[in-house]
Amino acid sequence: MSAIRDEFDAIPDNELHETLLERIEGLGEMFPPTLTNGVSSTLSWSVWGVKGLFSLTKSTIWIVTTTSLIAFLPFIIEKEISDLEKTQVAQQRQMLLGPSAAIQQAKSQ
Amino acid sequence: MAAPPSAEPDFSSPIAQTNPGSYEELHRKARDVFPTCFEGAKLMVNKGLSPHFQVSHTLSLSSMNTGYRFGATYVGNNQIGQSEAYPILLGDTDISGNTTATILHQVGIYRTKLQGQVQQGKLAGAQATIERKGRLTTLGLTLANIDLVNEGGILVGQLLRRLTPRLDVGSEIVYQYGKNIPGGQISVLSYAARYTANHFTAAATLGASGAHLTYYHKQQENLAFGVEFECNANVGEAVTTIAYQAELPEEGVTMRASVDTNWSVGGVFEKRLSQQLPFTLALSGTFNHVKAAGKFGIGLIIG
Repeated sequence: MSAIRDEFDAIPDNELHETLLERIEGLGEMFPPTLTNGVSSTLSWSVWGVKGLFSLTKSTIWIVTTTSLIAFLPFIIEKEISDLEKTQVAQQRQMLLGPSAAIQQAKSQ
Repeated sequence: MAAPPSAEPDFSSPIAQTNPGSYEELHRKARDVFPTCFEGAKLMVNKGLSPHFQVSHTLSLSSMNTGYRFGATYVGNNQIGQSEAYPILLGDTDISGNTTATILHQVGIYRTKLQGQVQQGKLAGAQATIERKGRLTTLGLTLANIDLVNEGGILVGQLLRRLTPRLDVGSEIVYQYGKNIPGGQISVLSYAARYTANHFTAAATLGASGAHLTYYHKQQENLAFGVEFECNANVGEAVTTIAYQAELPEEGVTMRASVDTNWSVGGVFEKRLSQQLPFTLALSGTFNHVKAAGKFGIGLIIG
């Protein structure tokens, strides 16, 4: 780049007016290109990685939820209702007949 | 072949306990774990008119097949074994007259089965099977769709032999002949093996047209798993399915669900609605993740 003189090199330094972005870009030229390339590719891979992870998490949560809805939900609901009834029955027996009756009934089932 | 001694000699079965069973029942244990999904609404009424005769009415309302089916079962007088009696006549018809009929009969250790199907007024299929259940071997021969006029038909020969109390091996040959087959005839040979243990059963069927492997695992009294791998060499497709079956016997609840490699999930939930009255509610759901399409069904079974 330095071998090719473009129009900016002809202007003396105190008459050169640059915008802020041009100055920042000029500042970046001091880093070796391997470093700038490295940082740039790291950033773009990270962005890609985060996007991919987000999308994967979305798909996984959707798939797991719909699959559990069809494959597990009715049985889990029924099991919860049945367990609740059993504890209620055991509690009622305990209230009526005392704690030993409830333990005996739980053992017999 | 001698009947084992028992308290009621009339009901002892002439088939020995060591008989490995029928060749078709090889994958039965694992297949029973899989749900039978249905779509739409279904009402099934089963009524026993006498100890010998039973009828069933099935009403199904769905986007695929809406209709009414009537089925009748007659069980004969020859009691063989505790729960089997022969001859058995089964029939199933629908409104337009499409009928399927089956006759099963057992004489000694020979069991015969005749099946016929009538669709739109014409005989669509007819099949005759004879099976000999010996002490350690089951031999079966099936003749299907034998057309003497057009010279076409299918013959199937099956052999299943018990090698050790846990291992059964067998083979099956399917021979098809007819005018529309290149070469006039084609035959397919396949081999089968089944290993039974206390908690699991593994069965495999291998042939030139593909392989079918199943595994059944009984985890607890009320929990069982089934895994099935099926591949078809002609089409080049393979599917693996994993299913489970869980029961709550006190409430009469049975839940079966399966997931397979075609990214589809299916489940069937059955619950008995009352202790005294024979009403059963069935809920079925299928969902395919790739197509993002779900089919759901509800059924009521009376009797």
